[in-house]
This record gives sequence, C-alpha cells and structure tokens, in this order.
Amino acid sequence: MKRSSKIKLLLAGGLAAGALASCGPNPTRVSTENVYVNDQQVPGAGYYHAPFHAFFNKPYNFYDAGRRQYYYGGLWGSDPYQSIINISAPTPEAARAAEAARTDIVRGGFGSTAHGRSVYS
Amino acid sequence: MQRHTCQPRPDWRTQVENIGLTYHSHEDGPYWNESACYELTADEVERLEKAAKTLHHLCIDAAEAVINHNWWSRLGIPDMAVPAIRRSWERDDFSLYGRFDFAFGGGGEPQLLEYNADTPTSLVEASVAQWFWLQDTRPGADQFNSIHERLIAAWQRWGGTTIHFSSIKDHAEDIQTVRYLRDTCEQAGVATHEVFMEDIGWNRNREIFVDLAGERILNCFKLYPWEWLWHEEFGPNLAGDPVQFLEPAWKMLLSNKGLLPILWELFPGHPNLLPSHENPAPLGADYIRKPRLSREGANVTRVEGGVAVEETAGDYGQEGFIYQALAGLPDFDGHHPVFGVWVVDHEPAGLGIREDTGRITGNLSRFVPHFFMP
Repeated sequence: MKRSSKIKLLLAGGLAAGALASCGPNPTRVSTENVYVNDQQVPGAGYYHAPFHAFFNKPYNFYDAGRRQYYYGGLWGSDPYQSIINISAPTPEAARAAEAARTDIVRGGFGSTAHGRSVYS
Repeated sequence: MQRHTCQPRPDWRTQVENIGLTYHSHEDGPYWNESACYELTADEVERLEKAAKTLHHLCIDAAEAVINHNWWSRLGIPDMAVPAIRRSWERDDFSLYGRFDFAFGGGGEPQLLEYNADTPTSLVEASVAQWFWLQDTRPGADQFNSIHERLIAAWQRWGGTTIHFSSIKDHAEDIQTVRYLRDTCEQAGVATHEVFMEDIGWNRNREIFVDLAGERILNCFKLYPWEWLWHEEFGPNLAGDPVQFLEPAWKMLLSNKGLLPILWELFPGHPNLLPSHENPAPLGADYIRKPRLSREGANVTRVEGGVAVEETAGDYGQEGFIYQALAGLPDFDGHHPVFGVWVVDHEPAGLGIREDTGRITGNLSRFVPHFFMP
C-alpha cells in the first residue's frame, strides 16, 4: 500500500478549508489549490481520480462488462485500483486541462454588438 | 478664449506613446493634435466647472423623475433592464466617472450637448497626455485637470478590495483607457484583474460570471455600453445582479440622449441647457437630430431651414431620436471645439477639448490640449 506525502500535507494543511469548498455538484475553478474526491465530476472535464491527480472521462474504477476490466487513471486493469488516496489536488497540467474543458462555463455571450468597433463616446 | 498655433514637440509621438496614448493618429492624420492649443481664462474654466457640477445634479434629478414616472419608453430602456436599474438606483451604486460635452464659446454659459455618463473615452488624453504636454511646453501655466488624483481618490472611496477590468479586444483606445483606469485603481490599493468582454464566461450551474481562470467576477469595470450588454446573449443573466458593474446600471439613464428633452421639460430655460424635444416641431426649421444611443457622433443630422445640411453615417437610430436646438459652436478658422468636462465621483475634475472641421463631432475629431493662466 502506498502512502502519499502530498495527502499528508493536505490533511495537515488546507484540506479542511479547501476540500469541502470544492466538493459538490458545482465546483469552483479547477486549480491545484482545490482538492477533489474520487468521482467528483466537473462537466466537460470528467471524473476525478484522486490517486492520479487528474480528471478522466469515466468514473474511478469503472467496470466494463464487455472488457471485464476496470478503468482508472486512463488505463484498464483486471482488478480495481487500490489506494488509500481518495482525496487530492490535481496537478497543474490536469487543472489547466480540466478548466479549459469545462462545459458548465460558456463564453462569448458579451461583445457581439461591438463588431470590433470602439465604444468611443 | 483663444486658439493658438503651436510647434509640436519634436518627439511628441514617443512622448504620448510612453504614457499610453498609442492611438494618437487617425488614418488621415494626428488625433492628438499639439500643433494647436486652447487658452482659456480662469473665469471660463470656472464657468465650465460650475456648469458640470450643476448639470450633474440636474441629470440625477431627471433620472429620478424617469424612475418615479416610469418613463422607460422615453429612453428606450428594455423592460428586462428596469428592475436592475431600480435596484442600482436604490442602492446608490458607486459611479466613477462621466464626461459632459458642452458647446462653449467663452461668452455666455456652456450649453449641454450630451452627457457621456456610461463609457466616456478620451480619458488618457485629458488626464495624462495634456498634463505632460503642459509641463513640457508651458510649465508656468495651469490646466483644468485633477482627473488623475480624483480617480485614485474615487477608487479609495469605492472601498472594494478586488475588481476586474474589461473592454473589447483589438481596439487600442479602449484597451489603453481601461489599462489607465486599472492603473489608478491599483494605485488606490485595490487588487485588479483583466478580462476581455468576449472572454467573460457564464457558469451555468452556479449562475455566476467568471474570468478566463474560472474565478468569479464580483466587481467589474466595463468599458462597454449597458444598452449593448442587455441585448446580448448574456443579457438575461444580468437580471439577478451577479456582478456589480462600474459604471452602474443607473448610469444608463444619464448616458441616454433621451434624457435631454426630459431635462428641458423639467428645467425649461436653464442657461446650461439647449431646448430639446422628442419631436422637431417646437424647434422650427433649425435643429440637430440625434439618436438616443448613438456613439462616435453617428447618425446625427443637422437641419437648417428645414434642410439637412450635414449628416453622419452609422447604424443607430432604431431606438428613436431626439431633437435639439442648434448650438452656437465657436469657429476658430474652421475648427469647432467641443468642451468635454470630466466628472469623477460626482465632482467636476478636468477638461478635454476635441475639435472638428464639421459641426458634428465624430470619431475623426482631434484632441487639442488647453491651458489657462492662473
């Protein structure tokens, strides 16, 4: 069984303040400063796999009956992944990718009237 | 009042670019024009200052009348904006700035052409560029200009701790104006962030606006007209006041030219007002027709003897027009100045003069610095 020094740091430090704030169906900005639990979902980015510090398009340890395999961290395996890590912060790369992929945030709803013109007045 | 011909500083382009005025030239010549300047008397400056102070309060009285009498249609205000305007008014949301445009020839009183109360531009020119020009060329003279200090003081009075600044992309004047304001805000000790209007995001789950980093936008200075915001895709999302905008929603009432006939109706014969009406009949055969919401001097028509003698192009006017008596714009060898008096945190703060060879000041007008002898 592996033990992550990062988790220890989180539990000792900002976990109480940070983790609960970001849990739930409406997460705030995805960043390395927030922590996520396994299978926490960010629309567009996917499901969080805490031991891998990143979001993936299937739930953690998702079982595919056709394959007879489990999905975790972007890989398939014959057994479910075992880890004590069920809450962690994403890596900077994973946070950036998740934030960019979010579909609960839409953009471009302002600015269309300008048509490139100054607001000059 | 005199218009002087001047020798521009040899390196004027570099000088003004260094302080943020990167948009100093049009396609057909300088927009920042220091080959001329205006000399005012202290008395003239005082009259401009007094007129701005008086009119700012009259405009607020007129706005209150609009709210109390539900005169929304007289300003073409969309129904969905009304509750937000009312709430903004009742909260007395903080207002940073605005600019009155006056017709003024030195004799008589300045007369109001319009109040750019929502998204006034030519700020860097008025606040910074002409001040450095004065130091370089006439260090013994004075200038009606405390805009910079008053902006910093206004941000301090605002009292917020963090704010986003937003303009449209790819337009130097707007970007530089917002950057300058952001600078004054930082100097007031407020944490600032930048997000372009086009990049603002709407988090559908949390019903909040966010920047590109996904951070919530709580306060936002927007150099973008309210009347555009309401009509765009995110417009309906504004109904719940998810962001405190500067300028606030109630400034929609002051920046609307539909307020001019209301001002004349409430304060007929006021020396700082030109007769203004919602139809041309009371003005006879000579008048200016202006769209309620036009910018860049667009779609303005000057009618003399019942005939349109000058007209500007544009795509405004669907919101309706107002009709204003012709102003006696002074003529300095074919140059017609308009006097823009800045109001910061409800107080007159400075002057910027733009002149045009036509009598309708448009987006090809030139900014000309000024001074007066104390």
